[in-house]
Amino acid sequence: MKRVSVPWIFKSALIILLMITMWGEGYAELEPGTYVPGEVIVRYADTSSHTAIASVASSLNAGIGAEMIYTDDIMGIQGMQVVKIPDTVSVQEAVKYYKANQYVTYAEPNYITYLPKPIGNANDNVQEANTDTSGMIIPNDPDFPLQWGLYNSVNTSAGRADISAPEAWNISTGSSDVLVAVIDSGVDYNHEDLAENCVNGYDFVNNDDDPMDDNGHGTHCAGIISAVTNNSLGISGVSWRSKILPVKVFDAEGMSNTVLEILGIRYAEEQGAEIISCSWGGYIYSEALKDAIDSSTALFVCAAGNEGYDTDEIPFYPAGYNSANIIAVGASDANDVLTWFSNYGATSVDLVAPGERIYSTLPGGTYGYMDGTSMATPFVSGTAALIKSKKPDYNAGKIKNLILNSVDKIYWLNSTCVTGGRLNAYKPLSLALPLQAEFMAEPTSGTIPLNVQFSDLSSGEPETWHWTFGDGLESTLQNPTHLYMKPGKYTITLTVTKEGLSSIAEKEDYINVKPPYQPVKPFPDGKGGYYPAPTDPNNDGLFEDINGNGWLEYEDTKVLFEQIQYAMREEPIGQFDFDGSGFIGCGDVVTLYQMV
Amino acid sequence: MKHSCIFEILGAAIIIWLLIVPVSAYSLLYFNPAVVESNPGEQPEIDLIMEGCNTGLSGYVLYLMLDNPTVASFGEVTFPSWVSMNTVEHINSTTILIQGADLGEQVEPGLSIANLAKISIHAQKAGYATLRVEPVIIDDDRRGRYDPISKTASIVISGAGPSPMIPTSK
Repeated sequence: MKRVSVPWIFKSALIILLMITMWGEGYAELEPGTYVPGEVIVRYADTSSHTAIASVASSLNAGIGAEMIYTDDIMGIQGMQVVKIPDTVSVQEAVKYYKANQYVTYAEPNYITYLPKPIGNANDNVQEANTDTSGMIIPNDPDFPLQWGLYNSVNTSAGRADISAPEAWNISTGSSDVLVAVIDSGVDYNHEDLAENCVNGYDFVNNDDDPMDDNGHGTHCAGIISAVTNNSLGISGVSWRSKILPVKVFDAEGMSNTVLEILGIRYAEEQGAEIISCSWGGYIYSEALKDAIDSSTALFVCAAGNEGYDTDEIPFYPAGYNSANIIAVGASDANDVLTWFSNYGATSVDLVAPGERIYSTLPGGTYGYMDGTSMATPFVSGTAALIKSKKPDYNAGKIKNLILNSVDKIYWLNSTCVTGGRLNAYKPLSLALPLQAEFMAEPTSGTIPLNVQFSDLSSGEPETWHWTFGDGLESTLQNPTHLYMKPGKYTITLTVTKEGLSSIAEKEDYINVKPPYQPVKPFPDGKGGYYPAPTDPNNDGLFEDINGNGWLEYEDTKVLFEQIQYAMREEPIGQFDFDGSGFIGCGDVVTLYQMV
Repeated sequence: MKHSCIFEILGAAIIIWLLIVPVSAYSLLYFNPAVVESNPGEQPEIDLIMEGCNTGLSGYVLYLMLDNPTVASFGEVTFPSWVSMNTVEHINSTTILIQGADLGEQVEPGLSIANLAKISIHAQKAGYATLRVEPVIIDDDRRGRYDPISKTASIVISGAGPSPMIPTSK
């Protein structure tokens, strides 16, 4: 996997800078441009007395000549205040001054955050229509074929590299009762493909109720989450009907700060948003922002960052906060490979989602492509909205667990994120359903002819059953019996359906059918003697250990090959018929080699 | 009228027979070239080829026989790359046993002709010899076994001796 390599000296310099900034002990100047001049966030200790806090704050502010801008009522967190300090005092000195007081838990600058810059512009890439769309809902939006993240006609060795949206839409297309806050640069709420799903939001940059997007980033993210879908216009959203709450905290240049972000979070909560999409972040740890997220019941879906760093070493926030209600999202490409720009982390990034060449809405009623973990994040937010539509009582932790436990695991993503997988929208929805396929069989092992009784143990009162027995035969009975006539290990699947929903249970190599036992003879060793008698190491009735040393190895293939005429003449067929042909021959040599 | 009815029934029976009896799988083992002309002391090579291996090849066990060892005897046997496991056993002066297996599944169904081995012959003295192949097993990739027809090769060793080397003049 190709990744941008960060020189060690640069990494070290960045870490040292971050440490100095975070600790703020006055040993080095704060980097100009990383904080809002003249503003400090102070959080007082919980004294359980509002009056006591007010008294201490008033006294401290007077001591330095500071003026309170936002009270803890406005910030929504007890004891958190934002103060404006006089020009004669530096932010660094003010932070040190407040922190010296025993009633102050922390004081920090109002850090500046920038929206990630778009990584690049891709060209149109219309996918060929895949004719096999059974079990899927394909919307009529004309640009749907450009949205490979929802449905990708290209398969990798690990399967289809998309979030299985058409399968998910079989279960839910979202609900207008679910509100997703897009805390970003605003949203073009007049866009033909967004207007119907947008509710009134707020602009914290200009402090008014017009959160029109003057940057483009927020509109692109909003379209991925919940563009109006199946309206014969433009694109499809992950969730067709969820409502978008535009919360503008980034200006036209893509700049914001901790205070605006906290105000945006608080507003989103007050409006009833239970999913908050945060396609932004920075490398400076803000205790205030973490407190704001930790005190919220909403699910925060956060971008992992676009610098190609290992965020286990160089954390990126808010994605990197150790908070139970945050999902950190990296970006994958159309081949399920981590994108070259995506940050990654075996402990700090939860999963990946499509984030390269993502087509979505743009301000002014237009559409276009963007790359970034910013684009991967709304895929997860949209999926969370679909789950919420089916399970309104699920809290943030439950939705997070459901999403993380049902990714499409891809082995080459193992070291890049916690789950080692890419978002799948269908699986968490199917897990949340009451319909669950399950079965058992009795007996699961025996010699031919083996008659097996299968029993349906599915929950949710299914209406139809479809069994496959692994030998090419099938049944639609609820509790069928099946007779196995050939030795082998058979994988069983049961598909149950009810009112358009379906659930599949599969048990690999579940039924072990052995040939009738007949004594086997030792094989000649080619030197005039004999090996020990062959054995059956895995107890499947086949004697794979030809040279009798107790385990299966390449040497067994070689001995069988060299002594194939002996085997044909002297050995019982059943015990050495590895390919199920009914005779001993070269096919068994090849099959044994493949088993090795 | 009665005769025409019988013919109709017979005709229908023939058509049904043609439809239900499967076309027998035709496979053939032969040598290339089929006639080898050589001089004493030379070592001509002959390819052993199988035609009609339409359902792939998993491996084979074959006897090769030369009926006149004073005229021609077996030299080295080499195998094509798909024969990833192989053995050659000299049974006696006229017979060798060769075995090969396609562990890499390179001769897959659909390939109709496969080279099984290349046999080198020691031309001993003037005379005639016949090279025969007798299959023990030839197995396909679909749990089946071939039953091929075998053709022989004729080896003619002339009495003239090796052609003289003519030095090039400057």
